[in-house]
Amino acid sequence: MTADPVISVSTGWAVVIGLGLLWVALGWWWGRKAQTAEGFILAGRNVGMSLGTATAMATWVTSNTTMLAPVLALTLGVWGMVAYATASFGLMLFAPMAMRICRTLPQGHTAGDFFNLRYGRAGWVIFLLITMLYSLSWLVSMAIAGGDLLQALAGIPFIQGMSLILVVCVLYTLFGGLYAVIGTDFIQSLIILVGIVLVGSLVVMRLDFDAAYTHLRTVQPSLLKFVMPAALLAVFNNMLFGFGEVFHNNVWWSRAFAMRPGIAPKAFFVSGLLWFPIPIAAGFIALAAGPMGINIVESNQTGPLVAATVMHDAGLGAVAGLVILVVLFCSMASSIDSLLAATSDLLVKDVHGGLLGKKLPERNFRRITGTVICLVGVVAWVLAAPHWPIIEALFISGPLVASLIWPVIAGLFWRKINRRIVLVGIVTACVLGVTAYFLMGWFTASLVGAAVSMLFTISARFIHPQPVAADLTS
Amino acid sequence: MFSQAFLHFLIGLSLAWTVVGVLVLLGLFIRDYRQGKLW
Repeated sequence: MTADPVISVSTGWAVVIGLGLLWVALGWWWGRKAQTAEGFILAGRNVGMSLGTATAMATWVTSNTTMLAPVLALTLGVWGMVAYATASFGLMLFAPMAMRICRTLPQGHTAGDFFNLRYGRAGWVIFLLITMLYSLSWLVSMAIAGGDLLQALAGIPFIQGMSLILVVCVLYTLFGGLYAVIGTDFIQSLIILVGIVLVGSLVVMRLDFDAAYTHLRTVQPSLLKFVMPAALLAVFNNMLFGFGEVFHNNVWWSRAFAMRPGIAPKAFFVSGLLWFPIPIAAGFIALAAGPMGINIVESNQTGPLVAATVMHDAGLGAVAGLVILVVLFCSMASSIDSLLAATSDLLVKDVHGGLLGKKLPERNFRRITGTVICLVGVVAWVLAAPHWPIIEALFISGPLVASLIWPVIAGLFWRKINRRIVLVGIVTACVLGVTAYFLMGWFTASLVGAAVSMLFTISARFIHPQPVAADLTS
Repeated sequence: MFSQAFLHFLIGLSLAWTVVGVLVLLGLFIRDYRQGKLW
């Protein structure tokens, strides 16, 4: 079977526009609660357990989770899926950190507030550079994935599909701020989970497990290997990449600040637990491709292709493409809106407010926040339109974000530290990590970045440590 | 090599766990809604 469009162009447009109008309407409705800048940026600092858990979980489920997990299963077998699942540990381990974040910065707004407090202006700038590269490459790769998805599933030209997805996400984030992001995340999280269970269950019901296992053992035995060095390295590399992504990024810090006191640690821990099985539930269907005789022409289409085939065989051909499109659109939208909000918050609070020293006026805060959200959307569009392999930039940012793991932990929990050594460690870790990426392979880069940064950070604890600043005035 | 039984277990567990996830989110939502603690 080759990858022809699964649904008609008109159905594809109808689904995306229909869902898009729903999210925009909800965004406008919930956005009425944001009467102040604080309300717009941090949803009133009163988000409860259910919405807090769902937003953390949904944001972490990206199209990478649902489409890359099958690719990892196809290339690295069982360990490939498990490697991806370890990214959930980042959410779980952020739980105690969220507690500390709220205590250290009770009126904090962004992760940049922390880096400025603990590591001064130099640390703040280094953090902003790393997080902007990471956040933009994640955002742009999601936009590209959206365009590819609509083209593959419905034959909608890449530029049109990508533009539509970005416009929808920009609009509801613009109208509703973090209220809209968190509210839509809850609905999207349920749709994603139900869709994954539906497709996974159909595969299980239609697959002859005995024949499939025999096929894998005979034709693709490496996928079942217990000791597969590259896969084992990938497990730890992905885990550290996940730690770095969650520990440093304003997407998660803004959620910690947005939740009601005491909620954030529980919400992050539960969200990590709920996220853990998703890469496995979404990824294992790739192992059915060979036994079911499905010809994979493009590896990144493995998931949708197997899902469409299985649903077609089960007599659900008419809705197969619809289900896949809706689930993948929700997984992309739940991440794109979070990135738009978190990145524009950093630009408004840290760059506009912090580095340029301009105050955010309460009277027309929406004009400034709205302008910045649109600006971020336009930049994402410009970078996505040429269809460069931006996903490579995302993977290369692995060692960069991994280099921030130990500085974040040290800054939150230690009373004394040598700032200069930590910052030198971050830069050195970035350089060596990126070098490892190109010389040794992607599955070593985050390991190198985290290890080098760890050595410098531990040294900073013992070599001329200075007391950390308690607040931004000291 | 990972055994067939282990694969069965892993896949079954991940699907069941995902179902539990849906129920947990819905349960938390209902609880928060009743207590007026959504946001």
